[in-house]
Amino acid sequence: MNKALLQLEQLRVSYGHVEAVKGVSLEVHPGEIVALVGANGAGKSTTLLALSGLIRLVSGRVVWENQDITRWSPHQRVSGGLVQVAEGRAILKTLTVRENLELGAYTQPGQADLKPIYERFPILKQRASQLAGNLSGGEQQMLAIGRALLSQPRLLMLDEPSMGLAPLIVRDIFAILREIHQQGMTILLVEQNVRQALKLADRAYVMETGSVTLGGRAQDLINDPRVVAAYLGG
Amino acid sequence: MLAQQIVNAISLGSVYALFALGFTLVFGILGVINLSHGGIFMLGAYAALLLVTWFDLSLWIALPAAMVFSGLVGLLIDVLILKRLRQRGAPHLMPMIATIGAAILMTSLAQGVFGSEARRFPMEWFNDETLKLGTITIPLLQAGITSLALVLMVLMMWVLKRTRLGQALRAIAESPRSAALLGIPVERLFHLTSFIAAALGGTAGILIGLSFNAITPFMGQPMLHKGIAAIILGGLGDVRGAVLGGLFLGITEVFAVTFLSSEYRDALSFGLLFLMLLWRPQGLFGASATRSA
Repeated sequence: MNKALLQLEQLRVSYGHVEAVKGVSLEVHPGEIVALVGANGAGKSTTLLALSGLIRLVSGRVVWENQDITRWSPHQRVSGGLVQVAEGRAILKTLTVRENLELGAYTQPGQADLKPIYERFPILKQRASQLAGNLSGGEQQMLAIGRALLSQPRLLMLDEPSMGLAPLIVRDIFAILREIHQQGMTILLVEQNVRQALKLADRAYVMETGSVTLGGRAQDLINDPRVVAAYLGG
Repeated sequence: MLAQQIVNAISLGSVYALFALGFTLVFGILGVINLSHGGIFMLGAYAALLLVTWFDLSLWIALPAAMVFSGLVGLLIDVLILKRLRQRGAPHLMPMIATIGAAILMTSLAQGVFGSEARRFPMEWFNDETLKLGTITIPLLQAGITSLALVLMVLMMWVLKRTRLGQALRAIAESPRSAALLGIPVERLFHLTSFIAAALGGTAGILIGLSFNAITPFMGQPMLHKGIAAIILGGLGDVRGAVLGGLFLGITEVFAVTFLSSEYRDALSFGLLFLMLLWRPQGLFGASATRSA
């Protein structure tokens, strides 16, 4: 087994008096797709936000390539390669598609090279000068992924990439993720669509009410009676 | 006569616009109404006056130095007050109240140090040198004030529209959280915005001080009202709106004084603001007053 790229150790996060994440520990290894699945309100998105440094931890550690980055600011984490496509896509709607993409490369020196992104997502080139708020949901998701790729991530975190999208578009988005992964990208995927996520992932963790209750190979979890009963309509 | 008044109106309006530009930048990017902006305006004027009269510096050195000083005051307010409120997730009223406190502190300090009497720049600057454009006569000082205000506004709008920094600031204005996820150092740019906005506000103070040649500890308060009026007229948080709102106020005031009476100056400006709010509550450019987290 490879050395872990990312380790979360006993992460605790609270919103006021409500503990949203209760001692979550997980690992992501280079080249893996790891899925974090569970019902709405399980603490998955909060875990990702904490990973990006947008929420303060009550306790716990975030270790990135054997370095404790718990106190790093969000922009230090992005510069270090921890890049997130947030829930709801976090598109800057009043900026153009091109401006959104250029900002994706904010932490990179020099002019952003948008060509590879336009080759992967030709629709973004066609709409480069349009306001991003005018894109469809699927196009916005492509923009969010393309923008994240411009940050040169070494771990791409995606929060609910299928949310609010039609099934055909979801299929396309998952195909894009598979392709990006095949090119060597490590992915941490938070997803309510448990079946899709487990089909794509190498390993997965199941979260319930702020805690990881199950973890293992995605192939095993997809057949686990507890997962089947709770999430796959078994 | 009319052409001359138009020149006067643009001159006054451009300084109002400069003040409003700083004011709206803070609202648009930090999401707070910084009511200490009038105090910074006043301190900028005093800083330039001090550098000229006490340290015998030329205006060309005093002006940029006072701009930087004003910027540093804005930065200090951000670091000491606004940042702490941001970190605690304080509701919108809190920064307003806190910055009122900062403005009162600045006014009291200025009153204690300089007294309540108006202070003036050396009279030799206010000589009779003029520019003649056809039938219009523009005092050189007025031309300089207007040019500087317009240049700073155009420069600021260019930065916001055309540069990487401007893109990042617009991203923060829309959503600080989304900006942070892109690796934009949001907190650092909040500080920079506070610095730039205060430098613009302080510059407006210097220019008004030069324009009317009277600097008092209380000059910030009426300017603050005009700044609020200008950004509401233009649309809260919208840079173009602030500039147009400032110019509009300047034009209204000059024409009120010319064709009515100076007593009606503020009544007319704020009466028009009231009508504007009835007709278009979101202002000329209709920028939303809310943003995502």
